[in-house]
Amino acid sequence: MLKIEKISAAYGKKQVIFDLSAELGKGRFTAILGRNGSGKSSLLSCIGGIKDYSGKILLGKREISAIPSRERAKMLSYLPQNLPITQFTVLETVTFGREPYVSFKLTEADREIIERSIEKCGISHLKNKKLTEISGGERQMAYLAMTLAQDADVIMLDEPTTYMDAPHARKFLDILKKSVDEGKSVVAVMHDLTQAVKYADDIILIDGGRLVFEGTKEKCLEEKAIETVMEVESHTLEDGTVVFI
Amino acid sequence: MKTKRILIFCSLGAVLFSLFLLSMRLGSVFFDTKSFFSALLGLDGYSTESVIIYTLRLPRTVAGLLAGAGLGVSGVLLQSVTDNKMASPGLIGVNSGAGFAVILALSLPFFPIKLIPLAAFLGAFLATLAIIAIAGRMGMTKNTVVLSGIAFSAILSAGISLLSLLDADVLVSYNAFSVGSLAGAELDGLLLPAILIISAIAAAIAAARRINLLALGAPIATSLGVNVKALRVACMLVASASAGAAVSVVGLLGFVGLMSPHIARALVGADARRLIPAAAIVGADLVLAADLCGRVIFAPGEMPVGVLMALLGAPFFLGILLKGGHRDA
Repeated sequence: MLKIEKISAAYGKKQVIFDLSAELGKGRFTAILGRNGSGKSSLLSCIGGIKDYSGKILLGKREISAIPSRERAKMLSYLPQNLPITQFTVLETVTFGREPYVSFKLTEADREIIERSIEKCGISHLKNKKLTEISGGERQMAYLAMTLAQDADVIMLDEPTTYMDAPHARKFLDILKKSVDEGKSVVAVMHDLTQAVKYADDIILIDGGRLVFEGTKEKCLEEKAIETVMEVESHTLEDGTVVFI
Repeated sequence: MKTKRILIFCSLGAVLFSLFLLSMRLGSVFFDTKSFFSALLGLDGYSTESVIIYTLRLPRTVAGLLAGAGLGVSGVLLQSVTDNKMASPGLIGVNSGAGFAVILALSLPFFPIKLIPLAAFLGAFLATLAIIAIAGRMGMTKNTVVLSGIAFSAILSAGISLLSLLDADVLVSYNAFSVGSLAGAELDGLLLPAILIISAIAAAIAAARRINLLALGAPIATSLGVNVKALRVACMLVASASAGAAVSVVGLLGFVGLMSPHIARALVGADARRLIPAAAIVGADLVLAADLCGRVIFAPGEMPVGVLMALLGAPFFLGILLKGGHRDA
């Protein structure tokens, strides 16, 4: 689905990604993990069309930067870590998700998708509230609903649950998992290793801008790749949950 | 909600219509209601009243309306591009570019006075092009736009100071332009600015949905299919054409481009589809109201609209800031 071939990227003279290659599976939840400054967000920015890079990123068989922006928006969505607190209402924000599809006016089908996305995220009661009037967790949910309304095949998120409390984060990730079950591909940079291992199907581990591990969650746990790179210990609880300390 | 917005737009339109009529009626020469409407509707044929109304007051009223609308729309576009609620046309070199071109034109012997508005427009537009070129080399982010604008405007301002020091007569003529005034407006000279400003408003409204996405930041806007750099450049060009046309009509009129978007945002919200037309009407309302005050309060003389705008506008704007208007998205 998404094939990264030897990409490199830099901020000015400081190179942050070095010849990184990876493949992200269709209909999979892929967690990108790594220490702070390892290049996780930069990698997502390259795929999202925000950051220039050398090398190739193929979406299907097409180089991603060559796909016209509106067409690409129907194939791939990207939610950055810092989400703006605007004066727009929740409904207006979610409606923005249909932008790649709307020529002049929203159709009935667009409206249905918007309503469904809002319902999925459980924020129907906040529809007419401005983003300035709701909590941080609710705001994240509003942006998730916008992403769902965008209905792209690949959903990319950069540390989406960083500012959320545990119940909001669980709900957020459950919704993403459900999208994967419905055939979407989710790629998320995650800082909570326990959450990542719980929800992800595949793991990509980056260290110092280089790929360290790529494969299924099971293989990652077996090889203790996370423990090595992140210098943490893992413990398996009675219910099978793996936690990292 | 929708009814409330319709009501707000109707009220803004009604205020504009009233100000238009008042601007035609009031001034250093007073008309009673009957003679005003007779002259306005041409019932008396050729009369002193009709000459005053159609050759003096109509051009300055139309000029005020156009300039206010142009500056208001320009302000909305620039505040969206830079995601900075303190942005105004001056940021993209409109004031310094127009000012430099005008003082340069005034310094040149035999430069036709009739072409001063054209020089003002070209100066504003060329300054914006230069700022776009500089910001473009640095990635055309909202910050590079702001910084390029500040730096390039400073260079032009230094040029203005230099030229004004060289010739005191030029400085006197330049001051009249830099204050901002509707006096002396002629209908003939308003056609081109009118075309530019109306086209700019139409273009801004057509792009309003995409402009909304800029408020979400470049990453999300890009994800939603917007070519952010191209949209920023397009908005700056339209804003410059609109404000440059306005400046060519009234001179360097401050505060309108800054205040109108704030007032409009408080009235109709942040959605650019409503904000752009609302800011155009609010801008026109402000300029006509300030010009009217300048003519009525100081009759039989008058106070230039630019001075009134600053006198009334600055405290009003501070009031908005103190009420938290600067926190709008």
